[in-house]
Amino acid sequence: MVKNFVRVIPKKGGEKWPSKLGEMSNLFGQAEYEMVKQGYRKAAIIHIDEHNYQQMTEKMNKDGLIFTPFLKSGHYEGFSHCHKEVKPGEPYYWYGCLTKTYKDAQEFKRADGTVNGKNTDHKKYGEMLGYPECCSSYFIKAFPKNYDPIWLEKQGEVSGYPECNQMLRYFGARITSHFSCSSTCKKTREIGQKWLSVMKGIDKKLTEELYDLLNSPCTWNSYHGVVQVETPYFIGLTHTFPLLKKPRIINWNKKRII
Amino acid sequence: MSLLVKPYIGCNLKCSYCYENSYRKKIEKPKLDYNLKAVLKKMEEYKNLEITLHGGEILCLPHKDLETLLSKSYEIHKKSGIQTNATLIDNKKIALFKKYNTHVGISWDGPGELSKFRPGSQKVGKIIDKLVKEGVSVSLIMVISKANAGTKELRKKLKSFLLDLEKKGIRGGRLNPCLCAPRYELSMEKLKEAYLDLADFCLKNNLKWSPFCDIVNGLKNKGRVCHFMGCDIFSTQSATVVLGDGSVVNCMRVNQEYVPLRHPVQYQTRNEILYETPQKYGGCKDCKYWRACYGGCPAAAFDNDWRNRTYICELWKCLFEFYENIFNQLDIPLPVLNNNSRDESRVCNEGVGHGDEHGDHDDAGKAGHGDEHGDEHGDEHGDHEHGDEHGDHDDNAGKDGHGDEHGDEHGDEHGDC
Repeated sequence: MVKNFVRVIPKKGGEKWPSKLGEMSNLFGQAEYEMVKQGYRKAAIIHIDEHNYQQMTEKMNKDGLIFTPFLKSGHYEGFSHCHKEVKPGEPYYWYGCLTKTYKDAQEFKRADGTVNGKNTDHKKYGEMLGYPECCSSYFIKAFPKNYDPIWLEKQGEVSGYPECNQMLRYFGARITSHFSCSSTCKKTREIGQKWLSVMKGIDKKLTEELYDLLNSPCTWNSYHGVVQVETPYFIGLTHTFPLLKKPRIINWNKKRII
Repeated sequence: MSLLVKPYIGCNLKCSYCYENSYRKKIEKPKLDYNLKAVLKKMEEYKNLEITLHGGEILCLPHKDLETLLSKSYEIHKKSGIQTNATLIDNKKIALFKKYNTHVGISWDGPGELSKFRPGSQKVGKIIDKLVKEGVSVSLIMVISKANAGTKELRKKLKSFLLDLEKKGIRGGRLNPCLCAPRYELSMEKLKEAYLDLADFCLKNNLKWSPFCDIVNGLKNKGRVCHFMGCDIFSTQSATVVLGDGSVVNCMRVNQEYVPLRHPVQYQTRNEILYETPQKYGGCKDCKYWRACYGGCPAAAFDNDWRNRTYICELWKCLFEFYENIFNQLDIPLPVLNNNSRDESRVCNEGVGHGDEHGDHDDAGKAGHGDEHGDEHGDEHGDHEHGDEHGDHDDNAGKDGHGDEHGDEHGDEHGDC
């Protein structure tokens, strides 16, 4: 249907946000790595560009980490769980897992559908990636119905913790790496606190800005395959599950619960 | 493509249906606090675009500032243009128009009761006469509403006014339907009746008013008004607006709650959505006029949601049909109707000179422009790939194409569908 895309349109006065979101995306990427390094989770899925491979593997070796490549994928704009076949000569990145031990790497590999030739074992996957069990169960139920499973049962005014807010993830802003089962999932909040502490160790000011952004009121409006997210500073657009008859709209944190 | 320069959003009139009323309410009382230097800088930066001084009411500006802006336009293009309600035009301003080769686009709905929704504009008829007499180039935008087309009698007066204009050498302009103003706009039945009547009248009298000429150009796949060009509301390629503080925004017609900065790159997202969404759900799937229309203006979309087609679709369809029948009678083929591909390249700009102008001002009689601009202004703007979002979860990634291919299969299984 709609081609894959991500687009950020700043409002007046919000001109800094496109680049700020890029910084937030980088911050999250670094935190993914650090969360494994610091022992908060057993594994992380990472993508390494072909040109950074040597540099990244050296860094991992130095940090006592292991990267297990699963497959090569071509670059494309779209959901990370899809991969593009690489033709000879085309640029690509390595998709694989980061772990501390070989045993964990093998365990993760066995759970990964791209490698095991079967379906992904989401329960095992979630466990190793440090997701709360409730959220893994929610994902297993929700994903087949809607591949963009933001609290499927909810619309209208929704309050919750910034740690649970995945509505801006396409644009680079999120604290945790999983879909929370609810906007007030306590387990997600606990895990989110760990992520935040790791992020603060990387860039305290940016982490605080990220937290504020995810705590700010926003409207998430999904319809006809495009989700429009309006924050006080910018409007973000991206492709999503194509609801046909009417939009599903979430008004986030109009009344904050923190 | 046009650069609409809007240094001042205020106006001396209070037209009931004005789409800028919501902006004025938001900022309480518009002030003449523009930064002329910043505006001039942007005019220079976007000099490839046709410049129209716009508003609010541009003639509310002090004479000196108005002259500075007209002079800048003239310096760039050897001509200038304004869109005005005309009520503030006097001899001094006419002298400026002559000095700077200004085309004057006038917003007026006709004499007497025809302009009931534009209180304070009674004297515009005389001003038009004076401008014409002085040799100033003039065109009109008229808003078709209950006031000037609600009954046969009103339309008779309107048509008589159009003929009067023709006698003065004004053979065309815009007859824009009043939109998004339920108290003033015509019902769909009345709208169709009025426009078919006017289409027939213009045909018989060889008058070149929009939207009729644009409908014809749509069928011939020639340059036409932005309504029929497949607009991206975040870019509004046919209109770039410079505000008083020098910021560059989209056409402003499409945003009522906020003013985002203009995105420099045009996306085809709305075209993609409408092309594939069934008509009963707000799209244009299988519409024979798709490539002539592209779903109409997103500012007047069903449910005020740009992801739907225009709510006056029925009007456009009946007008397309009206002209299609004429082409058929004359045995003139219309290849655009037999090619229903999504056609991302969209229309060509050959022909009528108007190119892809914006419907918010009128430059009838001016030469077409058509320079590209958007892409020059940076291609970054924060767009980036999805990266590794969507959680770390994976569902048979790379095997069965889950994810992006899900849509059509699961569309009806979800609660909302």
